[in-house]
Amino acid sequence: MIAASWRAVSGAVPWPLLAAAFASTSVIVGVIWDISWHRSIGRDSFWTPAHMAIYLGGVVAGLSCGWLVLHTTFAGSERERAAAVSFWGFRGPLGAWVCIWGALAMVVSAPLDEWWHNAYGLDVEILSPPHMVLAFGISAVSIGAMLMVLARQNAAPAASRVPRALFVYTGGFLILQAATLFMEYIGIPNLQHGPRYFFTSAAVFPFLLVGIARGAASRWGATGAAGVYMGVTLLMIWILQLFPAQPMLAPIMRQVDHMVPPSFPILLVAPALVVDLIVNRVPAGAGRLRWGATAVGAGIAAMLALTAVQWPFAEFLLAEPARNFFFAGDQFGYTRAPGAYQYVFWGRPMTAAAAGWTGLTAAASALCGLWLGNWMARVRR
Amino acid sequence: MTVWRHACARGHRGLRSRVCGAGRRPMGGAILVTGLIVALGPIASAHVGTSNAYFDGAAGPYEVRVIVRTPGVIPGLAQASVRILGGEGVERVTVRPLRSDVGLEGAPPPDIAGPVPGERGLYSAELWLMTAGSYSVEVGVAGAEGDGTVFVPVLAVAERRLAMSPAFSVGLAAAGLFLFVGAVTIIGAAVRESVLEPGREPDSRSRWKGRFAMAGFAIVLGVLLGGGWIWWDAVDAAYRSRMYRPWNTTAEVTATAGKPLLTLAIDDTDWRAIEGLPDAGLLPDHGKLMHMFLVRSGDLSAFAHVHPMREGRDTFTVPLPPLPAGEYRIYADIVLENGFAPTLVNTARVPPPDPAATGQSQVTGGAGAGDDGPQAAGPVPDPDDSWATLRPHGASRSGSYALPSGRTVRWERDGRIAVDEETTLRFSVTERDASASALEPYMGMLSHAAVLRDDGSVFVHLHPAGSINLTAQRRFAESAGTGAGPQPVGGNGRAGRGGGQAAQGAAGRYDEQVHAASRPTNTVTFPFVFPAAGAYRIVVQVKIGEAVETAAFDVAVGEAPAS
Repeated sequence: MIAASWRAVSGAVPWPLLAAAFASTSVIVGVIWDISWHRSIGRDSFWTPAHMAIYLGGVVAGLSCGWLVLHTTFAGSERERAAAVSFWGFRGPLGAWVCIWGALAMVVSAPLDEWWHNAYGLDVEILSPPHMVLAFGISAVSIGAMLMVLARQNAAPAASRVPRALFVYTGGFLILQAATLFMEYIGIPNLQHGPRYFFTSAAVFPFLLVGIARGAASRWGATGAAGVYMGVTLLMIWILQLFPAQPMLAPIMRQVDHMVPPSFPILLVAPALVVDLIVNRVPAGAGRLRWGATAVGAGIAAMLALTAVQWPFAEFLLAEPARNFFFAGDQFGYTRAPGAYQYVFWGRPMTAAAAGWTGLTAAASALCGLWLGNWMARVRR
Repeated sequence: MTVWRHACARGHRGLRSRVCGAGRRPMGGAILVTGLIVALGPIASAHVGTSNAYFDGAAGPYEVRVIVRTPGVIPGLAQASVRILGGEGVERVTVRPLRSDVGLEGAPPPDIAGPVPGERGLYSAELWLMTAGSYSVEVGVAGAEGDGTVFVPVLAVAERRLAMSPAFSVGLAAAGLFLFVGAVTIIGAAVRESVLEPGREPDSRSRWKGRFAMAGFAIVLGVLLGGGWIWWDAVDAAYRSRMYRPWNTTAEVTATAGKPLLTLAIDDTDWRAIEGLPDAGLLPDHGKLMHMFLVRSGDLSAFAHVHPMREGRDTFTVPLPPLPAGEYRIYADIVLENGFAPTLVNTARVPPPDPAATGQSQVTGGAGAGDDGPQAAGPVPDPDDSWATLRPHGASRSGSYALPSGRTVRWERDGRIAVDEETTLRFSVTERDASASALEPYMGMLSHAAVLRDDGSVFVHLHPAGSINLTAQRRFAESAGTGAGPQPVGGNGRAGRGGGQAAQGAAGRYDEQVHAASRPTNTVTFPFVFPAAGAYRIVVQVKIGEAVETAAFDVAVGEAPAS
């Protein structure tokens, strides 16, 4: 059955496209694994398995898309060359170029990161200039994979079940990547009643959800992508906890005996469902004003839906019933000393003014998402 | 009264740029550095130009040499090497950094130090130092003679910032430009062609849209890069503000009736912030609150090792011995009760000596020095003060130094000396008749040495046990595993030399224990690693009878040949 499914998939899309989707998966899983490594073991090297997963993704993306470009340019059929864009005399699908750029950015970030460590010390934070170069590279790999899928999906929307599913899949990894990048702002339940969480969520999620909903050929694109984000995060939570780990760096503020997983994912399927329902009500020939109003409404409605589910769920995650393997509500890295602070909300409380700004941000974010989705729906190469 | 005043603002230019932090006062430096210092626990040495730690001594039944090469950046990887100097059947060597505030409870499992190929009895491992502060490296040796452990205090501070090499800068800029142009080109292709039906050529409108998109994206990317540049600068500035730097001081020589008195005052916001804390007194090292070294600038032809008294909160005074006139570099080691051990750096101009003084190396008679001492009245010199005129720098390369007393000090070099390579500095002393001299403890140690680079950028005060503070080592051993950090021994260091004498007992007793087992010898050794290439002078002090003898040796240290 697996072999038959694989034959169906590989027959529907070219292998470089599958390779790019695999690369996108590998780098994001590697990043989540690496963060867990830093919270559980601390000490790392170039050769940790988490790093290997990230590098593998970059290598696979760079090589497969590089091959695709060379093949298209020098040995491609007329049809393949026609479905490509030009770049300094070479031809290849737009997504392949973005993947190649991402792989190169990841390569460039490596010596810069090494220099950074020698100059300013080893990693103690996610956000640093060399890590941002790496993040841009990883993002480009994910976006490139999605663009390659999009071109395939848009070529024959009705008959492209595999590309449609792959678009939702790659869209889910784009959400996962954004959630990981902004984990320190939105990913921890203790932060999820504060204005920074709402503001950041409003800037990120309406943009992605409306964009994916608009760009997807399927009716439930945003919901599916949100499901992929939640599903992969849950799998990482449950799998990582199965592996033993021991902190290797002082000071060890709490005893840790297994890999510390990420926090339970944000319940993004709820706002995604709202976005899908709203966006897909608009007829194909609607004017810009209608689309704009729809996007603004979808953005604000998405934040309302997110608040309706996540506000009480964050309280649940901090409560006793969530302190178990399934919800992982009691999982903290070895650098965090045990204390009552673990189970209370941090930072400033939400205010009416912050809620207003959150609404405005969500509207603007959704409009940007609409613009992106409109373009994605038209990508053919 | 004649006054010579030298502050950092007018000190030696080369020295000033390295140690005074001129023009590099950090943003919020007081808060940041104070935070660092408060976090420090037990004592560790902070010399000039290197914070490497060297130790020769016993780990249970085994004689070991431990060298910890600090990373210079924090968080970073220190390199620890353990050489077995005595003891058979060693099966396993482990190392582990213990942070003073969490002790063994918060420590990771020890790392096994692996044998270094081609070097019998040498083991090495990396030490992960993640936060600035005072650490103790726990060295464990297990073998046929049993298990042994020793603690080596190490100070982890950021003391350097890596400059980017021109080649790397060019490569990085080229890669960045390539990515920039590539990204802009991709945006152009996306807008121009990506939404066209396959096979359709872009028309003029599409091409212009692509060009506009490229221009717009280039601007956006430029703004992003500018933001990244500002971010990088902010990280760099924050890092610089955390870097270790000597405290600002003022040095002043006053002369009344031809009797010079050197006053060194600490004038630093970090010091003042620490001073307000309850544990910010001073601890004695070898029974002295301050070890001050005076080195004549330029030819390095005069040297003094004196012990000022603390006068009030910030000020230390010492009667100057009869040194040749000229400008002198000042290196003054103090140890705070909270564990920080800074070396204060400045310069001072010494007036012409009192004609009555001898100018030869000797131990003063202290308060009872009478006419033999540099001061017959006024502030009293410490009985352990010593000074000497030396051959000018560059004139003492022979490996043999003839002392005015007729004795000879020989540097027994047994290998090459190169940057960052472990070295044993071995010296022997013989009498006029070539018989072996009998060395006696000088302030609790068999010998004291100062290693200084000719430009003043490196200064290390060494003993045969290495560069570490033995009182700190003992306290680490006592407090390991408690997580409470060591408690200071007696003496708050606020009452001038009296405080030092009160505290001298604990440190002195330990020093005596260390050397009680030593057999009579005329040879002293110091473990050392030269931190940078250049011309160095090694000043060696030993005590024979009542005389402190001071010899100097010059050496040019080059880069290690590539292996």
